[in-house]
Amino acid sequence: MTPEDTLASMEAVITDLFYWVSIALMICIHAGFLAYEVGASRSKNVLAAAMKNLLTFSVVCATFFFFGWWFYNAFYQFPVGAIDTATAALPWSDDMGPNNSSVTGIFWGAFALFAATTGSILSGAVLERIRTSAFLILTTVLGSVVWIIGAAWAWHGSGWLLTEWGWHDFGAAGCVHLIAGAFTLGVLINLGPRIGRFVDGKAITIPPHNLPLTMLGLMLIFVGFFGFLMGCVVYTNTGYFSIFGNQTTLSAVAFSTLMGLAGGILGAYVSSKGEPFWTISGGLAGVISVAPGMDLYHPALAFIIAVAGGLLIPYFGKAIEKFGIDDVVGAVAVHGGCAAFGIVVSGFVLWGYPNVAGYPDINPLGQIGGFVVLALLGFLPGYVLSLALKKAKMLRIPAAVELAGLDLSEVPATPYPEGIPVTILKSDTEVTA
Amino acid sequence: MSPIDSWDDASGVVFTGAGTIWPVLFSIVAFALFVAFLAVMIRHEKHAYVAMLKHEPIEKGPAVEGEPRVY
Repeated sequence: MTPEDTLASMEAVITDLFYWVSIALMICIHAGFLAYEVGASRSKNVLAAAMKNLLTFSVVCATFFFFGWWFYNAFYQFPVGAIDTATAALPWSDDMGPNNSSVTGIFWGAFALFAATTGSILSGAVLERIRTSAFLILTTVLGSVVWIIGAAWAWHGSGWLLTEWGWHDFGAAGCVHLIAGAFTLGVLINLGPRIGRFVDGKAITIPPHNLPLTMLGLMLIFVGFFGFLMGCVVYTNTGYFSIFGNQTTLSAVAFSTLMGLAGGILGAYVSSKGEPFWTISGGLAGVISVAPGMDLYHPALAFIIAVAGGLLIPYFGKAIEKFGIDDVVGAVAVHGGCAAFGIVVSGFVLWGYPNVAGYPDINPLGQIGGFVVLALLGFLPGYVLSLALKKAKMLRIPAAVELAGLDLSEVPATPYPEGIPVTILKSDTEVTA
Repeated sequence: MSPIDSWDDASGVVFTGAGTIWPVLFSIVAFALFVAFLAVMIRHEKHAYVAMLKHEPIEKGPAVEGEPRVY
């Protein structure tokens, strides 16, 4: 083997290892969402929430292999235009199996974890009243069709939003967070609130059964975000690049991520008056707010933008609540709201920064236009599909089951047989009498 | 089914059924299993909800320690 062959071999190994670590870290996002949602549920729905998260992971990974990866390769031009060249991404192609000359599997794996993240964003918002089967149908469409079409348009080196409008979104705020948030909003409108969440039009807080577990879950999500953002970097033998082809470094991502986390938590603490749920969600809000420009922002500017994002989320949450929408974990506010905020802000702050290959410079209209396109791409399928499931009476669990809790019916197991008391039901007296 | 006779000349694609119709069949069966999973899950949900509304235990047999009472 020549020195050149050895070098090429080592480069391939390091590339594989880079994304391998990214995938492993991103699994922490799912462990975190599981803990987050288990904690946010009432004790009568704990295991159902956990099962929903486990199944999300399985369903999205499988369907992302069956057809999700194909959408990414086929749809980067508008509306389509690469169908012929995308045959390599079909599940039976030579490129989609053990292969001595291709790194497709490791990239597919990283994208599959991004896809599963979109499903987890939806999962928390619809807790305690959606049918698991309906949720899995919705999450399949979100995770293996909708977001990945958005990624082809807005998170691809030849995506049409980049080549035509000068779009820039380093950390996938648009295709992951905005699309998942908008899709979730569409589903929540049709799903309706949990029983007892609104009384005479007034919002009633249903407290999480284990807020410390919820907070620990979010800390795990923060760990996973380092894998997520690592996966946003393209590693090559000549350095690091964003997915749009401009040079960057992991150093830039470390600055922005940590300053984003810090700023978001502080901002949410102030605006929520120290409410723990919103405060720790502020960490996510901060990172998502800076995600579009985290390869270019000065760390102090990232902190300022993140503080603003953190400040905004309780207000986003209250605004959604006024429409009678019950978003259990604030997914629409944190993911959808902060992604929208971050994308629009980046258009002004990064105005005039060049893109590669002669594509248009980053500009406010390109960012705002991209925001509108991706918001619609997320919202419309979520609304229409959940409406169809609702009409077919497949969307929501029966009211009696919701009152008794899913752990008593759907899940043949008990979360705390000797510990935490189960949710006190108004109907308890009648049933035991 | 092996696409190679020896690892000495192995390069490129090396997996079960490579270069044949088998990967297509594997993919179809795997997808069918996924659809079957969804169908079984919907049936399980319906059964569980009906059983609960009739105040029947979901699992047959005596209750184990810590098992919640029938609704």
